[in-house]
Amino acid sequence: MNHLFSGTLLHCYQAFGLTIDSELPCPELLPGEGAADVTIRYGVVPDNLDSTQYQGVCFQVNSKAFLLKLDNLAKYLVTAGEQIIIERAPGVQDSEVRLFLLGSAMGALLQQRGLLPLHGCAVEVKHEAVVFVGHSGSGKSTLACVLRQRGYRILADDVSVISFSAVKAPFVNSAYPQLKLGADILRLLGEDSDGLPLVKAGLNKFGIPLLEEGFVKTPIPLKRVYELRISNSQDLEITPLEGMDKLAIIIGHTYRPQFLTGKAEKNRHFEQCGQTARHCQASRLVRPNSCRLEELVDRVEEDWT
Amino acid sequence: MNQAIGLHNTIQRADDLVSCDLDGETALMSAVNGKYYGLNPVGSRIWSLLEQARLVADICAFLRQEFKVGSSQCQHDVLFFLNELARDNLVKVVDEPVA
Repeated sequence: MNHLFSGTLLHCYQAFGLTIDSELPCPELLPGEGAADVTIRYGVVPDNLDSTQYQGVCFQVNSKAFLLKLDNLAKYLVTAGEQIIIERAPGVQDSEVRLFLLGSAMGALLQQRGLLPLHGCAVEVKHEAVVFVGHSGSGKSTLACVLRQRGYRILADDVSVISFSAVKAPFVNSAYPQLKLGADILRLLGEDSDGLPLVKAGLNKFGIPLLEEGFVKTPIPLKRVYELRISNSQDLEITPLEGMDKLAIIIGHTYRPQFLTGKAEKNRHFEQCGQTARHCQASRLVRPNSCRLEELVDRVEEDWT
Repeated sequence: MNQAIGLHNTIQRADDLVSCDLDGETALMSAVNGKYYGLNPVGSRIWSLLEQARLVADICAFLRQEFKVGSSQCQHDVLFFLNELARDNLVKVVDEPVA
């Protein structure tokens, strides 16, 4: 349901378990309704924050706000986990503004809301969530795409947001129904890239929309986390992780950990990672560079049954 | 340089630490240096005893009731462990009597 807010048309969406009103159209998100948790507006964004706690190459953090500055693209001011103000440079396409809005700016907002965003995709297996974390290029989206082809429903492609129930059990919230894949992978998987939107001009990556039956909209309990790694060895190995090793992959694959700068935020993050590790199983999945995808997914399915 | 911790010292956990239990191990994070630490099951037991200020000799006595270990071995291992924790400021000496 879209509505007018002080003369401006706001589009209403749902994503990451939140209802979002946005002045910038975001067609990759599902339509939402009801009172907004988050408002995204255009406005004037300052070049610097007051009493900055931390300053990165293109971002600043203080106790209340997060500022992302991308030259010749846009500035994003994220405040109190409720509002994102965007000031865009002239001539920039919506898709480019959205790429960083739904990535880093949203990552900062989720952290401000006290959620735990993990850098990984999530799929539903028997009414529970399995999350595959890994560094960029480790094959998260590719794996999600193959699992989707095998009939599993997807919760998230790149950022899996963990929230906690009253008894502190971790749940995975659905992100938005899109997988981002390169043209070469799409060809390999027998998917057609004709007519798909480019994620960013000049970046050979396409957004594959997920159909309603292929996407989970509600939060489901987190069952298991796999860390994806690529090695030079010949063998595909799945190694169960316990204790500190399990905690280490949750901490190590938190999305945008450099945005967590305050002491209270760091402590909360550590406690949430501990809660998550306590409640889920975890394994490390090491695959050779030239691994056949079907074989990889066969092994993963074998592992979780 | 602080003095090494001995059996006669009373120690407790330092401030600014967060800990969580994981499959019988304990993970610690120090807000002071931003580092993470993992304690094995025996280390975790010592850590749980340190929830309150305790005499190091008492910690050894507790452990000898719970684990099959000789007195001198126990003292040696506990002192080694506690001095490692102290080196990274995870525990502090509080020799003044705690009411």
